[in-house]
Order: sequence, then C-alpha cells, then structure tokens
Amino acid sequence: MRVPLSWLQAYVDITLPIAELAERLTLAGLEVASIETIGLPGAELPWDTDKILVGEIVEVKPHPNADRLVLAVADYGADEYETLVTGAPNLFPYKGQTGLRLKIAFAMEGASLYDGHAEGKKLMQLKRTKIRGVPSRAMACSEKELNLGDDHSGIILLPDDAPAPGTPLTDYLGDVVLDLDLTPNLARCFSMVGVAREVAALTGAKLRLPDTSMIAEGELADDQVKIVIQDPDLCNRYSATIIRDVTIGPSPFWMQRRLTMAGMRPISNIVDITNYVMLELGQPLHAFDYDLLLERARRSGHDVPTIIMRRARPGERMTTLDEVDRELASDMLMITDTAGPIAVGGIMGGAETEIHDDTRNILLESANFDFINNRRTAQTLKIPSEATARFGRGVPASGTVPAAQRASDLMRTLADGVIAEGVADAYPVKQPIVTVELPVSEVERILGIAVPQDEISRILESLDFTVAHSGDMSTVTAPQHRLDVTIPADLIEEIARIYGYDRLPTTLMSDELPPQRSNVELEIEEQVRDVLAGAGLQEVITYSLGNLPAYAKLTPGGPEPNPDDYIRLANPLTPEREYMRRTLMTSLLETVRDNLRFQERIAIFEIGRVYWPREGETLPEEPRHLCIAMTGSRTSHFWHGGETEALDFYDLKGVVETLVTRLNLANVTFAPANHPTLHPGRAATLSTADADAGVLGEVHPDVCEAYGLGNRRVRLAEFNLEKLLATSGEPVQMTPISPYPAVYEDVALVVDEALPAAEVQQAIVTAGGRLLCRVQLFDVYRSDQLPPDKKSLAFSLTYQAMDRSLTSDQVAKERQRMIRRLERQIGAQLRE
Amino acid sequence: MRHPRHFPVQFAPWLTKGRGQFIFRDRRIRFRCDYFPYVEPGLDTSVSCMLCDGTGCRLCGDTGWLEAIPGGMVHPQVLRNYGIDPDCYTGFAFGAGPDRIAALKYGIDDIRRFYTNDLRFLGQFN
Repeated sequence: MRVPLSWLQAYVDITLPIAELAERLTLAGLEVASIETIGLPGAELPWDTDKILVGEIVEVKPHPNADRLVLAVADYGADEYETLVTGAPNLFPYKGQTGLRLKIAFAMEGASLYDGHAEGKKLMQLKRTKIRGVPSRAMACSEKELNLGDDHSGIILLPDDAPAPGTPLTDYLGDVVLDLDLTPNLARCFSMVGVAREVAALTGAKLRLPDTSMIAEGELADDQVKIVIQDPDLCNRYSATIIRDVTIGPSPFWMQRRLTMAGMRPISNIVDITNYVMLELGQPLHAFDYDLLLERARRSGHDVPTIIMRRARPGERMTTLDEVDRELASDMLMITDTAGPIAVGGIMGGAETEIHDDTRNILLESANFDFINNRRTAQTLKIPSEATARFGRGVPASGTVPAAQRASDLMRTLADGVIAEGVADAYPVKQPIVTVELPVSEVERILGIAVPQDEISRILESLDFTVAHSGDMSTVTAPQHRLDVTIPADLIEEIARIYGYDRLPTTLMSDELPPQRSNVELEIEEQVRDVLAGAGLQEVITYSLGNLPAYAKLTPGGPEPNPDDYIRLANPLTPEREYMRRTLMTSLLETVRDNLRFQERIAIFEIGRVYWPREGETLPEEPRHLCIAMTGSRTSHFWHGGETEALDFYDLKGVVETLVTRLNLANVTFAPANHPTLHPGRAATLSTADADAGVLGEVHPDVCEAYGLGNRRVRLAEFNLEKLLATSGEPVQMTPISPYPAVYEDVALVVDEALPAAEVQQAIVTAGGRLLCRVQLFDVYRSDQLPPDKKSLAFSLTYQAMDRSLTSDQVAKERQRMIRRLERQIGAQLRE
Repeated sequence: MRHPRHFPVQFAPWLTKGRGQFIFRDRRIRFRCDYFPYVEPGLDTSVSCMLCDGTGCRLCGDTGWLEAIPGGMVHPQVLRNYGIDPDCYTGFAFGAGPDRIAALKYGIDDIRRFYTNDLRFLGQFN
C-alpha cells in the first residue's frame, strides 16, 4: 500500500528521519518495500529549489505569430514578471484576460525536467529559446515534465491557496511515498489511520483521528430507504446515509493529489470522496444514484428503495460498472433492491445505478461482508479491487458508521450536499468484544525476558488496547479494529514487535539435543548421487508435471496415453503442466535437447519421484526413479589429438556397473530387453535378485525424432531406485587372498551369435571348477572364417589355489574338463 | 514425567545467526517481525543483499535486505493439533528453502534456473 507522508502527517507527527522510520516500521512487521521521493533530493527527478517554483499567471495574451500559442505573464517572486510562451489548451479560455491569479508550477532556464513530448522519461534541461519569434526562457510545467504523472495535455493549475509565487515547488508538492508490503494479518494497516497508529505506537507520537461527525439538515434517512439483510452470515452489517442536491464536479486539488500519490486515479468529487475515506479509514464505501434506485423501486411498486442483501439466485446476471455482463453464482452475496441486483457486495457496483454527471442525490453504502466469501467471489469473477483487498482480509463492522459520516460530511463541504438525518443501519450480527487473559509469566515464557507489567500496559495501550491488572494476570480488551487478536500469543507478538525484536537478547540453548537417528534411505540416495557425479555425470532436477503429448513421444506410433493412467491437476496454471509424470525419461530427453544448442556432449542423471495412480485409492504410488541420459563424444576434443569416439551403450553400461560395484549391490544380472522407447537389439534389463529393476539402452530413432533430437544417438537408462537398491546395505566381506602363485590362460570359444556374452561367462564360471577364480572377456571376434551365425569370445582365465602352487598339468585338466562341460551345456567349441 | 521445554524467541538469533553466519559468512543479519501462518510471534531473518552490499539495488528492491529464513514460535493451535500441550511445551520453528538459500549464497539471479537445467548454469557449481 502506498502511503504518502504528506497525507500520513495529517494523523501523526513524523519525528524520525525517513530512513529510520522505514526501518522501524519494517522491523515491527510493516515491511517498507520501497521509498519513492517526489521532487525532493533523492528523487528520480529532483526539483531544483532555485529554478522550479510556484508561479502565478496574471495575464494571458495572444501570441503575435501563432494562433495555437499564448503568452502568459507570470509572477515568480522576482522583481520583474516573466513572459512564458505556451500552447497549453487549459490557458486558452483566459486569452485576453488580465488581473488573473492562476497558480502554476514555474520552471526557469537551467531547470532539469522530463521532456513532455518524448516517449517515456527523457531528461532535458530547459534552455533559452525563441518560440515563433518570441524569446522564452521559462515555462509552466505539466505533470509529466515534473514526474508527477503521465498527463501532458495541459499545464498544472494549482489551487488558489497554493503558497506565494517564488516558493520552491518542493515545499508545496515535494513528498515521500512509502510503499508498504502488508502481510495478510495486517488488514488494519490498509489505511492511513491504521499506519499512523503504528507510527504513533512505535515513536511515541500522538495519533490524531479525523473528525467523523456529520452535520445533517435533511429529512430522516430511515424514511428514505429500507434495509433488509436476508443472509446475515455473508453480510453482517449494512449502514447507509443519504445526501441530496450534490453537484458533480472535480474534487479539490489536495484530495486529488493525495489520491494520486496513494495510487488511485481521481474521477469526480463523489467517487473520489468514497475512495479517499476508504484509504483514510480502511472502510470501503459505495455511492449509488438515489434517483435511479427510486425509479427502480417505483417500477416494482414501492415508495422508497429497499436494499436487500442476499445470495444471487440461479441464472441471475448483472452488468458491473466496468460494462461487463456477468453471470452470478449462488454463493455470491449481492446488494439488490426490489427490482434486482445493484452491486456485487463488497466488490463492484452495478452499471445501472452508478453515479453519473447529472446525479443529484446519493445513497452512500458503508457495509461489512464475510471475508472468506468476499475473497472467493472476487477470485471467481476475477475482479480484484481496492475494496476487496480490504474486505478480503477482514474489516471490522464497527467502522461502517464513522466512515459513512465522514464521507457524507465531505460530500456536504465539497459537493454542496444536504445530508439526511441519521444513519440507516442494519446490524444483525454484532462484532464481539474480545478480551484476552494474559499472565505476565506467559510473556516471559515465550519471549525469554521479564517484561514489567507497566511496560506491557504502555505498549498495548499505545495500540488502543485497554489493560487491567490483577496480580500477575492482565486482562486485555482488544480495540474493535483488531480482528486478529484472540489468544495470548497474539498479544505477545504485539509486545515483542513494539518492544523491538532487535532488543531481545540472544541466548544459547542449554538443553540436551535428543539422540540423532540416521535416515538410511536418504543416505543411500546421496551415495548414488555421489557415485554418478564422480563418474562425470551432472545431476538435474526437472518438473514433476508435464503434458500428455510430451509423454506420448516416448512411444511414437503407439497408442495415445490414457489420461486415467495419470494423476491430473485440477487447476493447472498452464496446459504444459497438467499431468504428473510416470517416468523421468521425457523430461530428461527434453533437457538433453535443450542443452544440445550449447554443447555437444551431455551426460546427465536425475533422481526423482514418479506417480502412478492406484485403483481404488486416492493416493498414488510414488516410487523413486533414477534416470540417466548420455549423448555425444566420449571425451571432449583434446589438444593431445586422437579420434574422439561417441559415447555408446557400453559407456552407459559402464556407469551402471560402477554404481552396482560402489554400492555393493548383489545378484545383479543383465538380459536383453524389449522396451518401446529403446532400440530393439540395443536394450537390456537390469535385475536384482530376479526382480526387474529397470532398463538401459539406446533410444529408438523414432523417439529421438519425436523429441527433436534428429538422428543423434542417445543412451538412456531408467531404474526403480527401491528395487535397484534392494540388495544394498550389506558391508563388503573380505575374500581370502592366496599367498600362492596363479596360473593365467586365455581361451577362445566359438558360440552362437545370439548367445549373450554374460551367459557364456556365467557358464564358464559354473563349469570352471573351484580353482578358476577370475574370468574376463577381452575380445569379440566375427569373420567369414567362422561358421555362419557364430562368434568367437576370448576370455582370460586365472587359476589359483588357497593352499598350494598349481602345476600346469593340474590346470590343463581343469581346463579340459571345463571345455567339455561348455560343449555340452552351451554348444561352445574351442577355437584353435 | 514430562520435562517442560522452553524455546523462547531469544533462541532465534542464536540459532539463525549461527546457521546464517555459517552459510553467509561476512554478510550482515537482522531480525524482524513478520507473519507466517503457523507461528505467533513470527520472525524473519534477513541477510544483507549480496549484490549491492546493503546500499540498494533491483534484487533487494532498494531495501538492501533479502528475506532468508522465516520462522517464529509455533502457534499454540498447531501444537494442539499435533497432540502437544502448549501450556507445557513451546516450540521454535525456522526453515528455508534450500533453493532460496543457495540463490542468496551464490548470487544466483533467478531461482528458476535450478529447474530449467541449463548445463552452462549447473556446470558452474562443481
């Protein structure tokens, strides 16, 4: 909320320098998000105090050489008058007149201003010049030139009571505006008086409340309007005053300026007064044209308007004053009369009964609404407004009558209105008086320091609470405007923040901490990250939400993804993020694609949850998955030279095997796999203890195409982490090391092409006997010299005994036995 | 037998200052009243802006401070909701999103960078 200090000062004296005031407010919970200076030193456009002054035009003459220009003779406090040349349309009506007293914002040559004709803000210096033959070295400024607003349609005309010519403009219009970022619990601070009260409590200054009395001279208000509240749960108070014989016109300069500085646009006196009092006291108001209400009443057979607060009926519609025809829902609280809806309660008035240029009689509404319902209705209709910003956070019902009286009296003094006697008021649900019992010991228990009772009183009383002590207990009564205080903790926050959080001493915790327990699941997950990062991969974190077309790309040519297989967001912000992922592959492939613009070699992994809806259950299954993606060359280009080959399936498998080894996973086997996303013949499954834990392989070219990866070769793996890590956790057990020498042999076996090397190796291990302690594949050979559909696998074997040296005869016997077994079991032939 | 545990607001500066200084080294720290739904009194720990060192800039909205660690005394109703008697126990809460703290510590201009996965960004933090 924007708080111009020039306005705030009407309610409390500012006794601190601005920076210090801003800091004290911020520390006490009213965050000052920014400080905007207008005209004064430190402003975006400071006004030179010697060159930008209040001036007064005494005469307007036609320009000798131009019809569209005039010469304005101005008094700026110097010995001689200055003649200005200007094309301002708002001076034309005064052409040829003398003896004028038009106060203006006068700028002398050398002044720094914004160029009124430029787009946006362009700094310029006023220079001496000739305009159509007439010398000119000073000017009358527009809003835009002084950075007071966007208007450059005419010059600023100050009110008659502006200071004398020659006064620096900073003294009159210079201002500082604090922009407060108010948290939801500070509803009471959405007004100048609310903020002033805080300043008074924090600085010890005295709060000056505005006069909320009204001078009534007309007939009884109760005779001119009836009020009926049909739904008191949504509208607990409706007050109204009637003001007759008003003249619609602009509101005075001081009011327009305060509204503008506070961020609202001046419109006309009546509307401005309602906005002004809303900003001043925090009570939103609405003005209806009384004659239009009377017409509607007569149309439906009544003598006086009856204002009825009720929920909308099914099918009801209304055109709001922004000219939008809206359909209303049955939980929306409407202000209606006997002919139908006239306003959406606490949000926006209807177009049909709004104030217009010929309005003479006003019904002024000052009411209170249920804050949750108000906020919800505003969101549904998508009409945020200053009114619902306040109602939506909670406004005290006790404030309706003073605000109505204040605004009515302003309409009397500023618009010639005649106020009807009394305030018509329906108040079915009274705002309760809240009393809180606060033991002094509780303050110490929470804050840790002993705040003396009289300090507690002083602080709370400065915030308008009333305090009565009885021994250690304080009985505190909350002022009506504090809807947020109900329990001792609320009072303790008030005490602490006014006392000053910065004054609370720091203490050490003197207690014992409970014993810490480790989180095994998290620790293993971190180990996985460390191993993969150590292997040179980069971790990424992608969004859990995606969309069906993106997921469909994993199975091009396959069936469309079934929305029932996915958890769907009920109110997605964008259609791109509507369905929760079932796999990490999509987002990883997209990450690869996005980064290929900048680099050629990509190796990434992600550990994250995927979401599978469960039949008959509300909550889905959420297993953790690990996904790895790699593409590009094996190493980056190196000055040392040498061909850099591309990362291939075995690089991916190598990473996975590293993980298996480092985490000491047992019973891990690989087998050829069939997976729609992976290239057939270049895919494998990984199983731990016979449970399928995931797949790895090369991405199918159609899938690459679908993700915009062209004809790149990308390796991808995805594992269910729970299954993968099922066999981890056992510490490595040492295997004995033989002190006797080993015998090393190589053997080459011719086997069927289709037989996986892993199976052959496993067969060798089984058939090789106790003495065979190591088997390593070191060559795969294919050629025309071999029989068709056969390949040759060469293994290096290590034979060793724990208790003796082996002779070559003993090894030969073992080898021959093994080869015979292999011939029988897998049809392997020894290659000569 | 239950032993009453007291965590007055005073622990706040010690806890958060300790953590804060561990993470933020030589930046200044301040405490102020703030509002969060589950605490009363609420406490915000702010750290001096790393871009402008407290003089004011776009990142800190010209205030010189960045909110870092929200917290406060746990609201008595919250304790009750979890079956803890607020007359017997008080609680102090504080916490921060690791992405925000990392952004403040490393001078990262946009927190969304953690999720857009540009390797030119991620690769800077090895």
